[in-house]
Amino acid sequence: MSKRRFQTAGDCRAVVLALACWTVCCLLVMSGCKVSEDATAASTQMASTCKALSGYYAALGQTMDSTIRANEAQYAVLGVPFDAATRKQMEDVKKELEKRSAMADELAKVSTLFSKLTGSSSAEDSAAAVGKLDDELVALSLIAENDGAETALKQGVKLIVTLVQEHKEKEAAQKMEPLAKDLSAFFDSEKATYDSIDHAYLVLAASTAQALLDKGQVDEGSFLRPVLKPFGLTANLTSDEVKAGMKGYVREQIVAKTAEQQAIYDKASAGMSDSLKEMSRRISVVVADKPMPFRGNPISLEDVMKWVDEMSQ
Amino acid sequence: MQSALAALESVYFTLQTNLSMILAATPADQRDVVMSNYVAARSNYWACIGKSFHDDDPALISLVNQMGPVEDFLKGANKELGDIAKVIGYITKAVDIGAQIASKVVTL
Repeated sequence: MSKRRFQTAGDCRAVVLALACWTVCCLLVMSGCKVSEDATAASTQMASTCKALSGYYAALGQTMDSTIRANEAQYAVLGVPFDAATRKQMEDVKKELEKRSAMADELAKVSTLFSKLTGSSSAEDSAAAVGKLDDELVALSLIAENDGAETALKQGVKLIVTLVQEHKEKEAAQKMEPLAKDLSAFFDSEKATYDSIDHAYLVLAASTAQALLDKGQVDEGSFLRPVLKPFGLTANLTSDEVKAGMKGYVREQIVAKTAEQQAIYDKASAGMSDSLKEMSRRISVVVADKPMPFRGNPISLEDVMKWVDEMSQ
Repeated sequence: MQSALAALESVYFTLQTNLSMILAATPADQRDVVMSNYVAARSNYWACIGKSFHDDDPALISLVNQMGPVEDFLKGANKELGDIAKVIGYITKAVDIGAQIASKVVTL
Protein backbone atom coordinates (compact mmCIF):
# COMPACT_ATOMS: atom_id res chain seq x y z
CA MET A 1 0.00 0.00 0.00
CA SER A 2 -0.14 1.78 0.95
CA LYS A 3 2.77 2.88 2.82
CA ARG A 4 3.02 5.48 0.09
CA ARG A 5 -0.67 6.35 0.21
CA PHE A 6 -0.60 6.77 3.96
CA GLN A 7 2.57 8.83 3.85
CA THR A 8 1.28 11.39 1.44
CA ALA A 9 -1.37 12.29 4.00
CA GLY A 10 1.35 12.89 6.58
CA ASP A 11 2.22 11.38 9.97
CA CYS A 12 -0.28 8.78 11.06
CA ARG A 13 -3.33 10.92 10.30
CA ALA A 14 -4.14 8.98 7.19
CA VAL A 15 -3.58 5.77 9.08
CA VAL A 16 -6.11 6.88 11.66
CA LEU A 17 -8.61 7.66 8.93
CA ALA A 18 -7.97 4.44 7.05
CA LEU A 19 -8.16 2.37 10.22
CA ALA A 20 -11.39 4.05 11.26
CA CYS A 21 -12.98 3.49 7.86
CA TRP A 22 -11.67 -0.05 7.84
CA THR A 23 -13.07 -0.86 11.27
CA VAL A 24 -16.34 0.83 10.57
CA CYS A 25 -16.89 -0.94 7.28
CA CYS A 26 -15.70 -4.32 8.48
CA LEU A 27 -18.09 -4.14 11.35
CA LEU A 28 -20.81 -3.09 9.00
CA VAL A 29 -20.18 -6.24 7.10
CA MET A 30 -20.35 -8.22 10.29
CA SER A 31 -23.57 -6.52 11.34
CA GLY A 32 -25.21 -7.58 8.10
CA CYS A 33 -23.95 -11.14 7.85
CA LYS A 34 -26.38 -13.98 7.89
CA VAL A 35 -25.11 -15.63 11.03
CA SER A 36 -25.45 -13.26 13.97
CA GLU A 37 -22.91 -15.22 16.03
CA ASP A 38 -20.33 -14.53 13.32
CA ALA A 39 -21.11 -10.82 13.50
CA THR A 40 -20.72 -10.62 17.26
CA ALA A 41 -17.65 -12.85 17.28
CA ALA A 42 -15.99 -10.82 14.53
CA SER A 43 -16.71 -7.55 16.33
CA THR A 44 -15.35 -8.92 19.59
CA GLN A 45 -12.27 -10.28 17.87
CA MET A 46 -11.69 -6.95 16.15
CA ALA A 47 -11.88 -5.20 19.52
CA SER A 48 -9.32 -7.67 20.94
CA THR A 49 -6.95 -7.16 18.03
CA CYS A 50 -7.18 -3.37 18.24
CA LYS A 51 -6.66 -3.52 22.01
CA ALA A 52 -3.58 -5.70 21.52
CA LEU A 53 -2.33 -3.28 18.87
CA SER A 54 -2.78 -0.39 21.28
CA GLY A 55 -0.93 -2.33 23.98
CA TYR A 56 1.85 -3.18 21.55
CA TYR A 57 2.41 0.49 20.69
CA ALA A 58 2.15 1.54 24.35
CA ALA A 59 4.76 -1.06 25.33
CA LEU A 60 7.07 0.23 22.60
CA GLY A 61 6.54 3.70 24.08
CA GLN A 62 7.65 2.31 27.45
CA THR A 63 10.69 0.86 25.69
CA MET A 64 11.55 4.40 24.56
CA ASP A 65 11.33 5.58 28.19
CA SER A 66 13.68 2.77 29.17
CA THR A 67 16.02 3.70 26.31
CA ILE A 68 16.23 7.29 27.54
CA ARG A 69 16.95 6.11 31.09
CA ALA A 70 19.53 3.60 29.82
CA ASN A 71 21.33 6.40 27.96
CA GLU A 72 21.41 8.38 31.21
CA ALA A 73 22.85 5.33 32.95
CA GLN A 74 25.45 4.94 30.21
CA TYR A 75 26.46 8.57 30.72
CA ALA A 76 26.94 7.88 34.43
CA VAL A 77 28.95 4.70 33.82
CA LEU A 78 31.06 5.55 30.76
CA GLY A 79 30.75 9.33 30.53
CA VAL A 80 29.15 9.14 27.07
CA PRO A 81 27.39 12.48 26.43
CA PHE A 82 23.61 12.35 26.18
CA ASP A 83 22.68 15.70 24.71
CA ALA A 84 19.27 17.38 24.63
CA ALA A 85 18.96 16.99 20.85
CA THR A 86 19.34 13.20 20.99
CA ARG A 87 16.93 13.03 23.90
CA LYS A 88 14.39 14.99 21.85
CA GLN A 89 14.82 12.58 18.92
CA MET A 90 13.87 9.74 21.25
CA GLU A 91 10.97 11.65 22.81
CA ASP A 92 9.62 12.40 19.32
CA VAL A 93 9.73 8.71 18.44
CA LYS A 94 7.83 7.99 21.65
CA LYS A 95 5.17 10.54 20.69
CA GLU A 96 4.69 8.82 17.32
CA LEU A 97 4.17 5.52 19.10
CA GLU A 98 1.72 7.11 21.56
CA LYS A 99 -0.33 8.49 18.65
CA ARG A 100 -0.61 5.01 17.20
CA SER A 101 -1.51 3.55 20.59
CA ALA A 102 -4.27 6.12 21.13
CA MET A 103 -5.59 5.49 17.64
CA ALA A 104 -5.74 1.72 18.18
CA ASP A 105 -7.34 2.21 21.60
CA GLU A 106 -10.13 4.31 20.11
CA LEU A 107 -10.65 1.71 17.42
CA ALA A 108 -10.96 -0.96 20.10
CA LYS A 109 -13.71 1.11 21.74
CA VAL A 110 -15.46 1.57 18.41
CA SER A 111 -15.24 -2.18 17.81
CA THR A 112 -16.69 -2.91 21.26
CA LEU A 113 -19.62 -0.59 20.60
CA PHE A 114 -20.24 -2.26 17.27
CA SER A 115 -20.21 -5.56 19.05
CA LYS A 116 -23.01 -4.27 21.30
CA LEU A 117 -24.84 -2.93 18.26
CA THR A 118 -24.68 -6.19 16.36
CA GLY A 119 -25.65 -8.18 19.44
CA SER A 120 -28.67 -6.05 20.26
CA SER A 121 -32.18 -6.58 18.94
CA SER A 122 -33.56 -3.62 20.88
CA ALA A 123 -34.04 -0.42 18.90
CA GLU A 124 -33.34 1.65 22.03
CA ASP A 125 -30.09 -0.20 22.75
CA SER A 126 -29.07 0.19 19.12
CA ALA A 127 -29.78 3.91 19.22
CA ALA A 128 -27.71 4.25 22.41
CA ALA A 129 -24.83 2.29 20.87
CA VAL A 130 -24.91 4.45 17.73
CA GLY A 131 -24.83 7.55 19.96
CA LYS A 132 -21.76 6.30 21.82
CA LEU A 133 -20.19 5.27 18.54
CA ASP A 134 -20.62 8.82 17.31
CA ASP A 135 -18.82 10.07 20.43
CA GLU A 136 -15.94 7.65 19.92
CA LEU A 137 -15.53 8.67 16.31
CA VAL A 138 -15.36 12.29 17.43
CA ALA A 139 -12.53 11.23 19.76
CA LEU A 140 -10.84 9.55 16.82
CA SER A 141 -11.10 12.69 14.76
CA LEU A 142 -9.44 14.66 17.57
CA ILE A 143 -6.49 12.30 17.36
CA ALA A 144 -6.44 12.87 13.62
CA GLU A 145 -5.87 16.62 14.17
CA ASN A 146 -6.68 17.24 10.56
CA ASP A 147 -9.73 18.93 9.09
CA GLY A 148 -9.78 16.67 6.06
CA ALA A 149 -9.56 13.55 8.18
CA GLU A 150 -12.21 14.83 10.58
CA THR A 151 -14.62 15.59 7.75
CA ALA A 152 -14.00 12.16 6.27
CA LEU A 153 -14.62 10.54 9.63
CA LYS A 154 -17.90 12.37 10.07
CA GLN A 155 -18.89 11.27 6.60
CA GLY A 156 -17.90 7.78 7.70
CA VAL A 157 -20.35 8.00 10.59
CA LYS A 158 -23.12 9.04 8.19
CA LEU A 159 -22.15 6.17 5.92
CA ILE A 160 -22.48 3.72 8.81
CA VAL A 161 -25.95 4.86 9.70
CA THR A 162 -27.09 4.89 6.06
CA LEU A 163 -25.66 1.48 5.25
CA VAL A 164 -27.00 -0.09 8.41
CA GLN A 165 -30.42 1.30 7.59
CA GLU A 166 -30.28 0.19 3.96
CA HIS A 167 -28.51 -3.13 4.64
CA LYS A 168 -25.93 -2.54 1.90
CA GLU A 169 -23.18 -4.04 4.01
CA LYS A 170 -21.76 -6.32 1.40
CA GLU A 171 -21.29 -3.58 -1.20
CA ALA A 172 -19.43 -1.47 1.33
CA ALA A 173 -17.35 -4.45 2.42
CA GLN A 174 -16.29 -5.25 -1.11
CA LYS A 175 -15.02 -1.71 -1.51
CA MET A 176 -13.24 -1.79 1.83
CA GLU A 177 -11.68 -5.23 1.55
CA PRO A 178 -8.49 -3.93 -0.15
CA LEU A 179 -8.09 -1.35 2.59
CA ALA A 180 -8.13 -4.07 5.22
CA LYS A 181 -5.24 -5.71 3.40
CA ASP A 182 -3.52 -2.33 3.26
CA LEU A 183 -3.76 -1.98 7.03
CA SER A 184 -1.86 -5.19 7.52
CA ALA A 185 0.65 -4.06 4.90
CA PHE A 186 1.01 -0.74 6.71
CA PHE A 187 1.95 -2.43 9.96
CA ASP A 188 4.41 -4.63 8.11
CA SER A 189 5.91 -1.60 6.34
CA GLU A 190 6.81 -0.08 9.74
CA LYS A 191 7.57 -3.38 11.47
CA ALA A 192 11.33 -3.17 10.84
CA THR A 193 11.34 0.19 12.63
CA TYR A 194 9.42 -1.18 15.62
CA ASP A 195 11.76 -4.17 15.78
CA SER A 196 14.81 -1.93 15.61
CA ILE A 197 13.54 0.24 18.49
CA ASP A 198 13.25 -2.79 20.74
CA HIS A 199 16.61 -4.18 19.62
CA ALA A 200 18.31 -0.80 20.22
CA TYR A 201 17.15 -0.81 23.83
CA LEU A 202 18.34 -4.36 24.48
CA VAL A 203 21.78 -3.71 22.90
CA LEU A 204 22.22 -0.54 24.97
CA ALA A 205 21.05 -2.15 28.21
CA ALA A 206 23.25 -5.22 27.72
CA SER A 207 26.39 -3.25 26.86
CA THR A 208 25.89 -0.88 29.81
CA ALA A 209 25.34 -3.82 32.15
CA GLN A 210 28.54 -5.42 30.82
CA ALA A 211 30.43 -2.15 31.37
CA LEU A 212 29.19 -2.02 34.97
CA LEU A 213 30.25 -5.63 35.46
CA ASP A 214 33.72 -4.94 34.03
CA LYS A 215 34.12 -2.05 36.48
CA GLY A 216 33.19 -4.35 39.36
CA GLN A 217 30.00 -2.43 40.10
CA VAL A 218 27.59 -5.37 39.94
CA ASP A 219 26.73 -7.47 42.95
CA GLU A 220 27.38 -10.92 41.52
CA GLY A 221 26.21 -12.40 44.80
CA SER A 222 22.61 -11.66 43.82
CA PHE A 223 22.81 -14.70 41.55
CA LEU A 224 23.36 -16.86 44.63
CA ARG A 225 20.01 -15.87 46.16
CA PRO A 226 18.19 -19.01 44.97
CA VAL A 227 20.73 -21.09 46.91
CA LEU A 228 20.85 -18.95 50.07
CA LYS A 229 17.30 -17.61 50.34
CA PRO A 230 15.76 -20.77 51.91
CA PHE A 231 18.17 -20.37 54.83
CA GLY A 232 17.76 -16.63 55.25
CA LEU A 233 21.38 -16.07 54.22
CA THR A 234 22.98 -13.48 51.94
CA ALA A 235 26.17 -13.79 49.93
CA ASN A 236 29.40 -12.22 51.13
CA LEU A 237 31.86 -12.84 48.31
CA THR A 238 35.44 -12.15 49.35
CA SER A 239 37.36 -14.73 47.33
CA ASP A 240 38.79 -13.30 44.10
CA GLU A 241 38.62 -16.76 42.55
CA VAL A 242 34.89 -17.12 43.31
CA LYS A 243 34.24 -13.54 42.20
CA ALA A 244 36.01 -14.16 38.90
CA GLY A 245 33.96 -17.31 38.38
CA MET A 246 30.74 -15.47 39.18
CA LYS A 247 31.66 -12.64 36.81
CA GLY A 248 31.88 -15.10 33.92
CA TYR A 249 28.55 -16.57 34.92
CA VAL A 250 26.91 -13.13 35.18
CA ARG A 251 28.32 -12.19 31.77
CA GLU A 252 26.73 -15.30 30.26
CA GLN A 253 23.46 -14.50 32.01
CA ILE A 254 23.38 -11.02 30.47
CA VAL A 255 23.88 -12.53 27.01
CA ALA A 256 21.30 -15.26 27.61
CA LYS A 257 18.68 -12.91 29.08
CA THR A 258 19.17 -10.48 26.18
CA ALA A 259 18.54 -13.29 23.69
CA GLU A 260 15.52 -14.44 25.70
CA GLN A 261 13.98 -10.94 25.76
CA GLN A 262 14.69 -10.51 22.07
CA ALA A 263 12.94 -13.81 21.30
CA ILE A 264 9.85 -12.80 23.32
CA TYR A 265 9.65 -9.50 21.48
CA ASP A 266 10.20 -11.10 18.07
CA LYS A 267 7.29 -13.47 18.69
CA ALA A 268 5.08 -10.54 19.77
CA SER A 269 5.94 -8.49 16.72
CA ALA A 270 5.40 -11.41 14.36
CA GLY A 271 2.20 -12.24 16.26
CA MET A 272 0.81 -8.74 15.79
CA SER A 273 1.53 -8.91 12.09
CA ASP A 274 -0.10 -12.35 11.83
CA SER A 275 -3.17 -11.20 13.78
CA LEU A 276 -3.75 -8.28 11.44
CA LYS A 277 -3.37 -10.57 8.44
CA GLU A 278 -5.85 -12.98 10.01
CA MET A 279 -8.33 -10.12 10.44
CA SER A 280 -7.98 -9.28 6.79
CA ARG A 281 -8.51 -12.91 5.80
CA ARG A 282 -11.67 -13.15 7.91
CA ILE A 283 -13.10 -10.05 6.29
CA SER A 284 -12.48 -11.65 2.92
CA VAL A 285 -14.28 -14.76 4.13
CA VAL A 286 -17.32 -12.73 5.19
CA VAL A 287 -17.33 -10.75 1.94
CA ALA A 288 -17.24 -14.03 0.01
CA ASP A 289 -20.26 -15.25 2.02
CA LYS A 290 -18.30 -18.23 3.27
CA PRO A 291 -18.67 -19.64 6.77
CA MET A 292 -16.14 -18.41 9.32
CA PRO A 293 -14.21 -21.55 10.31
CA PHE A 294 -12.77 -20.11 13.54
CA ARG A 295 -14.41 -17.38 15.61
CA GLY A 296 -11.98 -16.98 18.49
CA ASN A 297 -9.06 -14.59 18.75
CA PRO A 298 -6.00 -15.50 16.67
CA ILE A 299 -3.55 -17.52 18.78
CA SER A 300 -0.80 -15.11 17.74
CA LEU A 301 -2.44 -12.41 19.92
CA GLU A 302 -1.31 -14.35 23.00
CA ASP A 303 2.33 -13.75 22.05
CA VAL A 304 1.61 -10.03 21.78
CA MET A 305 -0.09 -9.88 25.17
CA LYS A 306 2.69 -11.89 26.82
CA TRP A 307 5.24 -9.29 25.79
CA VAL A 308 2.93 -6.38 26.65
CA ASP A 309 2.31 -7.84 30.12
CA GLU A 310 6.03 -8.35 30.64
CA MET A 311 6.78 -4.77 29.67
CA SER A 312 4.16 -3.42 32.05
CA GLN A 313 5.68 -5.22 35.06
CA MET B 1 14.26 3.66 3.87
CA GLN B 2 14.57 0.24 5.46
CA SER B 3 17.97 -0.33 3.83
CA ALA B 4 19.12 3.08 5.11
CA LEU B 5 17.87 2.15 8.57
CA ALA B 6 19.63 -1.20 8.38
CA ALA B 7 22.94 0.48 7.47
CA LEU B 8 22.76 3.04 10.28
CA GLU B 9 21.50 0.40 12.70
CA SER B 10 24.47 -1.85 11.93
CA VAL B 11 27.02 0.89 12.62
CA TYR B 12 25.29 2.10 15.79
CA PHE B 13 24.65 -1.37 17.23
CA THR B 14 28.21 -2.50 16.48
CA LEU B 15 29.66 0.58 18.17
CA GLN B 16 27.24 0.23 21.09
CA THR B 17 28.10 -3.42 21.63
CA ASN B 18 31.87 -2.77 21.56
CA LEU B 19 31.96 0.75 23.02
CA SER B 20 33.29 -0.17 26.44
CA MET B 21 36.01 -2.39 24.91
CA ILE B 22 37.02 0.22 22.31
CA LEU B 23 37.19 2.96 24.94
CA ALA B 24 39.36 0.74 27.14
CA ALA B 25 41.78 0.23 24.24
CA THR B 26 41.85 3.89 23.21
CA PRO B 27 44.57 6.26 24.46
CA ALA B 28 43.23 9.09 26.61
CA ASP B 29 44.00 11.73 23.95
CA GLN B 30 41.79 9.94 21.42
CA ARG B 31 38.82 9.08 23.63
CA ASP B 32 36.97 12.22 22.55
CA VAL B 33 37.18 11.09 18.92
CA VAL B 34 35.57 7.75 19.80
CA MET B 35 32.95 9.43 21.99
CA SER B 36 31.96 12.01 19.37
CA ASN B 37 31.77 9.34 16.66
CA TYR B 38 29.56 7.19 18.87
CA VAL B 39 27.28 10.13 19.68
CA ALA B 40 27.00 10.96 15.95
CA ALA B 41 26.23 7.32 15.06
CA ARG B 42 23.50 7.23 17.73
CA SER B 43 22.03 10.52 16.55
CA ASN B 44 22.06 9.38 12.89
CA TYR B 45 20.30 6.18 13.88
CA TRP B 46 17.54 7.93 15.85
CA ALA B 47 17.07 10.52 13.12
CA CYS B 48 16.47 7.66 10.71
CA ILE B 49 14.06 5.92 13.11
CA GLY B 50 12.13 9.18 13.47
CA LYS B 51 11.85 9.56 9.72
CA SER B 52 11.31 5.93 8.86
CA PHE B 53 7.59 6.51 8.51
CA HIS B 54 8.41 7.96 5.10
CA ASP B 55 9.10 6.45 1.73
CA ASP B 56 12.06 4.70 0.25
CA ASP B 57 14.35 6.86 -1.84
CA PRO B 58 16.44 5.20 -4.57
CA ALA B 59 19.09 7.93 -4.18
CA LEU B 60 19.99 6.46 -0.81
CA ILE B 61 21.10 3.21 -2.37
CA SER B 62 24.58 4.34 -3.41
CA LEU B 63 25.28 5.74 0.07
CA VAL B 64 24.03 2.54 1.65
CA ASN B 65 26.26 0.51 -0.68
CA GLN B 66 29.29 2.56 0.34
CA MET B 67 28.60 1.60 3.92
CA GLY B 68 28.87 -2.15 3.27
CA PRO B 69 32.67 -2.69 3.40
CA VAL B 70 33.01 -0.31 6.35
CA GLU B 71 30.34 -2.21 8.26
CA ASP B 72 32.15 -5.48 7.56
CA PHE B 73 35.36 -4.13 9.03
CA LEU B 74 33.65 -2.76 12.14
CA LYS B 75 31.94 -6.07 12.86
CA GLY B 76 35.39 -7.64 13.20
CA ALA B 77 36.94 -4.61 14.89
CA ASN B 78 37.45 -6.40 18.21
CA LYS B 79 40.21 -8.41 16.48
CA GLU B 80 41.93 -5.24 15.29
CA LEU B 81 42.19 -3.41 18.60
CA GLY B 82 46.00 -3.65 18.39
CA ASP B 83 45.80 -1.06 15.63
CA ILE B 84 43.38 1.30 17.33
CA ALA B 85 44.16 4.15 14.90
CA LYS B 86 42.89 1.99 12.04
CA VAL B 87 39.73 1.13 14.02
CA ILE B 88 39.08 4.78 14.82
CA GLY B 89 39.65 5.64 11.15
CA TYR B 90 36.99 3.15 10.06
CA ILE B 91 34.60 4.34 12.77
CA THR B 92 35.03 7.91 11.54
CA LYS B 93 34.42 6.82 7.94
CA ALA B 94 31.29 4.87 8.92
CA VAL B 95 29.92 7.81 10.88
CA ASP B 96 30.63 10.22 7.98
CA ILE B 97 28.70 8.04 5.54
CA GLY B 98 26.00 7.57 8.19
CA ALA B 99 25.67 11.33 8.55
CA GLN B 100 25.19 11.64 4.78
CA ILE B 101 22.52 8.92 4.87
CA ALA B 102 20.76 10.52 7.85
CA SER B 103 20.90 13.91 6.15
CA LYS B 104 19.38 12.44 3.00
CA VAL B 105 16.69 10.69 5.02
CA VAL B 106 15.74 13.84 6.92
CA THR B 107 15.22 15.82 3.70
CA LEU B 108 12.81 13.23 2.23
